[in-house]
Amino acid sequence: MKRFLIPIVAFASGLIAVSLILAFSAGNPGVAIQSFFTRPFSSWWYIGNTLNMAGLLILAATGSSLALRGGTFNLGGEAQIYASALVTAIVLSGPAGPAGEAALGHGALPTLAIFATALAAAAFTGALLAFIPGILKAGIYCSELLSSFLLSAAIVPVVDYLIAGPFRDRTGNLIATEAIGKAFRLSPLLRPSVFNVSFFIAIGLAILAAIILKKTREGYRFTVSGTAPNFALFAGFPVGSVTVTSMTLSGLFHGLTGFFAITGTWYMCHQSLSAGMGWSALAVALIARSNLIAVIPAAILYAWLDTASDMAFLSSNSGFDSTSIVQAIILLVVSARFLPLRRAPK
Amino acid sequence: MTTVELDHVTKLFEPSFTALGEVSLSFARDEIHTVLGENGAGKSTLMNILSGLTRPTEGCVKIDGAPVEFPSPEDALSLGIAMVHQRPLLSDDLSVFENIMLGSPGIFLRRRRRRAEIAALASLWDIRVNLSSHTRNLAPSDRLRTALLAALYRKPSFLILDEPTSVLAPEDRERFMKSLVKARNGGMGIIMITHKLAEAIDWSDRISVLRRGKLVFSAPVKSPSANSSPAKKITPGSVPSPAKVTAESLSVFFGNATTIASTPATVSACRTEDRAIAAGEANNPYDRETATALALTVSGLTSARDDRLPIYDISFTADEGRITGIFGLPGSGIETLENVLSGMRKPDAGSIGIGGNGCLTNRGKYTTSLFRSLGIGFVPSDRAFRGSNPALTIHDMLIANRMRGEKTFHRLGAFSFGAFRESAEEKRFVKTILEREGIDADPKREVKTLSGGQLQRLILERELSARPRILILAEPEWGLDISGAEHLRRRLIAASKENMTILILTDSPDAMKGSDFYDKILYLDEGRLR
Repeated sequence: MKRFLIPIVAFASGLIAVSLILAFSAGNPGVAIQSFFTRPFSSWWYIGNTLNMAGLLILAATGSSLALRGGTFNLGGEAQIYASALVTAIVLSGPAGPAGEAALGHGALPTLAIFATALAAAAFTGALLAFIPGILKAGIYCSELLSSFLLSAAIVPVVDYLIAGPFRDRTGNLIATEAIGKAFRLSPLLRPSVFNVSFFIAIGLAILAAIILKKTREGYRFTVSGTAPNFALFAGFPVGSVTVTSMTLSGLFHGLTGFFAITGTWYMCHQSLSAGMGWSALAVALIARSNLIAVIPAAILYAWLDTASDMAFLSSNSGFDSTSIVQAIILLVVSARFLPLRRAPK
Repeated sequence: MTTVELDHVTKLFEPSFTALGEVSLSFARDEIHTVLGENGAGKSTLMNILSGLTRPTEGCVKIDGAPVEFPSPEDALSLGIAMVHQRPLLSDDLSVFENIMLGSPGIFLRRRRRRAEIAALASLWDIRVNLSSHTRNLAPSDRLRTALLAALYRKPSFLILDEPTSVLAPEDRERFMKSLVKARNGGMGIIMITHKLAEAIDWSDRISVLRRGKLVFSAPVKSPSANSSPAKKITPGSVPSPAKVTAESLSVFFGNATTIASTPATVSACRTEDRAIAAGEANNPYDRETATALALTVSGLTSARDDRLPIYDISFTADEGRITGIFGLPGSGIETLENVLSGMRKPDAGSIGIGGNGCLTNRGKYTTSLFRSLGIGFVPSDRAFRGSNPALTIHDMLIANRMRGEKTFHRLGAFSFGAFRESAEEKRFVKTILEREGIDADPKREVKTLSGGQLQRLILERELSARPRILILAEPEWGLDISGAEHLRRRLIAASKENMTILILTDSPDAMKGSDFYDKILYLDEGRLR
């Protein structure tokens, strides 16, 4: 199979699988399938929210791709997004949140400074959580696949506890933190959806990262160290520091995803906020074959597929976890390029 | 199975690059059939097609006259065709026995019985290798023996061997060739690639020659009806006219006929010629003012940790602007010495001094990067993964030396515009190197599409073009044909005249032969310099 066909086959398989499940499980398959193809485009609400989700996926998938290009695998995206989202919510609520605004008056604290602090704190949190597996790999050859995954598995319940316990907003019924101050919320651009400027920031950052990788000497050293580590070592490139940098950058982008998820989409950190987002980002990065420009259309298509299958399953009252099915099928097909694709001898 | 035949086989790697064009050639059992050719002639592609690693673009492989397809080496193996590569890819984490057993059919291993079978096979073929050894610690010659046993264990009808004797010590070569003759007498077909004309003539039943992807010669060696007419293409089934195949008659296929046998006289002539080359070499994109020569001083170097081949108390000086050779047979520790001298393995004791730069072994980070930053260039013996990488493009492989240093961000937020690549200059540089080596390849092509010899020439040229003050080359002649080796010899002599200090580590004593090529020759034996 030609390599470029694999992403297309992956998407087509996702589409076919969703259609087949709908055809066999929905009470009225015709309506369900029609919903699948038409509902995502039926209102600005759907279109805006799909694009907004695509923006978050572009950021996280850029992170996953940077890890892959640097020769590492970041499987801790879930926790990096989740923990950064919590940090963002904590910094932007409390004295800076609605309660603080009410008590101290609007503008009591410099909004921009707090916003920048939250951004830096979220980026730092994501970067730190990925830096640890990165330095372990470079220092003692500990597999970053295992360490990033296990660290993530350990961090997620801790964040769950912090949201349900010390940082829970006791005034509401949701298991979530207090809402962030209105001044920190990114204005929706396509009402009534939450689509906001983060979509364009994500595209800009993906393109900037692509330019640095392609056009600078450091980008060359980064990608060559990822593709051919022994060659890079012998050419005198700092392969160990590329390993650490690629993981740290990957975590930083996941941290930014958590930041924009709070400031642009949910405005508070609720439990399971990042559920599936880290894995979806990895799927997008694999579909795009870690090409940072290809990440943009891949994320948009993926977000559309996700919304469309949600719509179809909702309209059919089906109990399937559609996102997981789509994700599983796409990951399965994409991973086929790591398998020997061979024909049987005639 | 009695014959394997290539029927009008063409292999295109891209529309503009024909690796093999309409080659028809037949291989029979009971025959040692040697395929000769210059670098890039298509020998490896032809063998890869026969062994299922590559599929032909046009034409087909026939077994006993019936067309067959090999989608993978496993399929070729199941039909009785096994290949042993010169530098076989073995699993370093397994033992010799486990590597031999990899991929063998059946559910149960039956370890004891299999070991006995392999031991019997090894004794039949006179192959001496410890089945319990860890593959990681094997010398190249033992890796070849392991791969050979793995191939023989599958009881092939045809055995393809790529430069089998190049990693063997001279005293082992004849023994090895005799075992090939014995196998041939037992009914096995042997197909061999070599650059050694004398070896081909002495041991082969038939010799075929490829040139630029075309079959230009094929004839029996010892038969009185041999055909040595270079112009006439011999197709399977045609009757050759009477003649005798000799080194002289074959030399017409290998560029300059006088380079076939390199005697001290020819080398002296080359040196005179190369002074002129050195003087006129102004076109180099890396040219810079002639640097001050630096000597490489090694003192008391010892590396004997783990169970790898150790070296003890190595002391020598590679004098500035001179060519120093260290010969060490496989297993002598020459591989360890290469690793230590290239920064890949920190020695247990001893020092390495470069000019006035103090002792390198005392520095915190003992890496290749440190050596490179002091102006040392390397041509590693592992050209596939250290000297290059199959997944890189030719362009990316060639520009590596230009890509060190210059950070994108000097300080946080301070973007350095000097970090941007100069793509026009890079392209010009790559084009110059490809043209200089006469390799007509698109720089965007992957390295894996190059022949072994072409790759080695490009690596050598890349390192020489960077004008290092000291150049350490491990087995530089590997994979080069006679004219390629001669060209390299001239380039190295010219470089030494320009004050480059050259150190050659090799396990082939006949490499770069000629008494006045080396200014100093040292011998490594059992980890010690003699």
